[in-house]
Amino acid sequence: MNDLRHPLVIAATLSAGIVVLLLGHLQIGALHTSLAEAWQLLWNDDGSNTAFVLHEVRLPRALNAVFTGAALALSGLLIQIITRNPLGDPGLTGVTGGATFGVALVITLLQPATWTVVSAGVLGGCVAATITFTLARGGGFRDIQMVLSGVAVSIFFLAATSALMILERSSMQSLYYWMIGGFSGKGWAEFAWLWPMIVTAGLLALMITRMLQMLLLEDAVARGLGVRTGLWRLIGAGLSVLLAAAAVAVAGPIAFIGFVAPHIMRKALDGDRKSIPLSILMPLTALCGAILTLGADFAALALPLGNRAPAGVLVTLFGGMTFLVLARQVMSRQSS
Amino acid sequence: MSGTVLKWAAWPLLLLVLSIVSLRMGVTGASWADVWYSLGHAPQGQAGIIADYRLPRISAAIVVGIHFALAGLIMQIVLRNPLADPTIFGISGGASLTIVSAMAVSLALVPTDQTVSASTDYIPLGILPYIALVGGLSATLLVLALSWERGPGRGFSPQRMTLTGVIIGAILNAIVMALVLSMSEASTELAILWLAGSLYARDFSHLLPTLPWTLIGLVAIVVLSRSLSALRLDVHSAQSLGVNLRLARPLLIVVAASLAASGVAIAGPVGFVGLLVPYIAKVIGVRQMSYQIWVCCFIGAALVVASDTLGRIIAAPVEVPVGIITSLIGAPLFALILNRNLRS
Repeated sequence: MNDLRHPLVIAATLSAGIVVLLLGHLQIGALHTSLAEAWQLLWNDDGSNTAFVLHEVRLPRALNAVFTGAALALSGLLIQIITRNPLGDPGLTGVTGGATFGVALVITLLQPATWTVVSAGVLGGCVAATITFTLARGGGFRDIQMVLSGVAVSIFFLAATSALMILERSSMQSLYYWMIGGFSGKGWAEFAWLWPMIVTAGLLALMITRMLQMLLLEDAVARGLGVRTGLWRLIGAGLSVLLAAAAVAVAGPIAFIGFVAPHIMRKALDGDRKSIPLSILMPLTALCGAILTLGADFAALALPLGNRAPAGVLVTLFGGMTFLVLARQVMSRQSS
Repeated sequence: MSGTVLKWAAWPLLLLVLSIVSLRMGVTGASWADVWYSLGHAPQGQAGIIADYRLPRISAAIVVGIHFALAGLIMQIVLRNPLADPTIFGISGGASLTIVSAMAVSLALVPTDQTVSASTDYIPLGILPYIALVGGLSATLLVLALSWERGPGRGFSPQRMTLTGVIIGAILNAIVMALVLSMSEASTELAILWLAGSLYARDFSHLLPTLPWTLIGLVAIVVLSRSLSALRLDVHSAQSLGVNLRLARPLLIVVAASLAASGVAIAGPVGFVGLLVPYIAKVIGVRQMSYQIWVCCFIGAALVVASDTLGRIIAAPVEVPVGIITSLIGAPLFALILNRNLRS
């Protein structure tokens, strides 16, 4: 039975799941395509409409979902590590809210180039993260206090974003849709900068796992081992904000994936074992985030919600409920 | 004696002054003479705008402010949680969900071509508060049920309750957003404005259906003020004062939910008023229960009137909805109270 919990088995299962969902994704939509046909057209573009839709609409949309999900999950895991708070999530620490405001600001004020949008998101996310972590520091990043501080920051920035939306009526519809979070209409243009960013940030995070692992120890112990905890926390936070901001710039503020994915993986890897090596947990978390987000987008397309079906809504529904269940367990485990 | 009179009279005076200032402010300029004239004569010209638009709107702001402030006060005392607020606790989220659903249903059943200025105009205004109450009360019960802790330390932990409320709020909000998307483009815009918490184009026809709710709410809180006062003490002291906790607490929560829900029915979810006002009253140093209720009513009304006026003039001719202004003020204060609360 224990073999089922082997990291490689889990990784293989998740990857297989992603491939299956990807294929399903290619098949679904207004233009009905059979699986065999989709498979055929994926490799030979015969110039038909169906092939066009497949290559230019469905495939990039699905890939965007995969990478956004991985980014959000990694971002959440990094926050959980650097704050040692199991409730960490880019949405619940205000990072997503700040990034949302930054992105919305440049979209309404300028006709921005892609890099401007992403940098504005990163900047907004950094500001929000700084506020939240400064507020939460007094309480030593304690569980609920950090999250509630983050919620306050998040509400503030989302209210400011709503104000922007209302002041700039012409972009109201598109901003509103983006604020719900989803992947409809996301194409190769977004994917072209999304994947290098996320792969780079992900690899960087993987490279510093040894240091990050030390952050999970008591601060005094880590410092005794010669780890500059402040510096590595800052680097971890920077990577986390970068990942979250990239995700927001593509898909809008999608909450809870960053919280849920690491916890599902901790459970899958045998919850009893106290310390799971980050070098294992990290890639698995990314895969888990990818499959959750892709699954939500798939469900959004499959459900009869119209052609603008928002994946963000389904993620919030699923993520919020999981949060309520998991947060209870996580906190009671800590207090006992 | 005159000190006591002044203490009680100062708050209505503050509100009166603010309202008169607010009558003058707006996209269309008006002079003090216009304001004065419109209050005593048949309105015409600039004075017409004041009497036809601004006066009803300010009345709506006052009512909404009283509703949310009292709802917040009751919740904070009954739940022993200084972070309690109708918005944060899902009451507004639940009320919004049922109202937006009703909006979507009425749009689907009776498609109209007529233009409306507030999205709730699609629904008969008299039943709006009831629709809101169903959603608001269910959401509150859900939050309370989910944050109840079993075992030896049974009871509610304020922070955990707040967190649960926030998450439930996020879930409800996601559903509302999906519903709004399913509407036609024109109604989407109205729904977005409504969801931000707006007093745009509110007049006496929106206000009258909620009048009984206001009256019943005020009477209930006055009748129950002794219990409310006792609930500020610990459970045993409250019981020894002869308060029936099993009856008083649920009753008070229902009163709070009704006030908040009918407030939502008028203006949409105006955030943080219920959080801000009791806190301000506490900072001012108000202790006596009856005076606390009195002060909260007027500060609540003044806060909403002031925020609405600010929203009207800050980016004129475009309006910033009042709910956005109160959220921008309220969120930092929420963080402040959170930090204070932990330190003590």
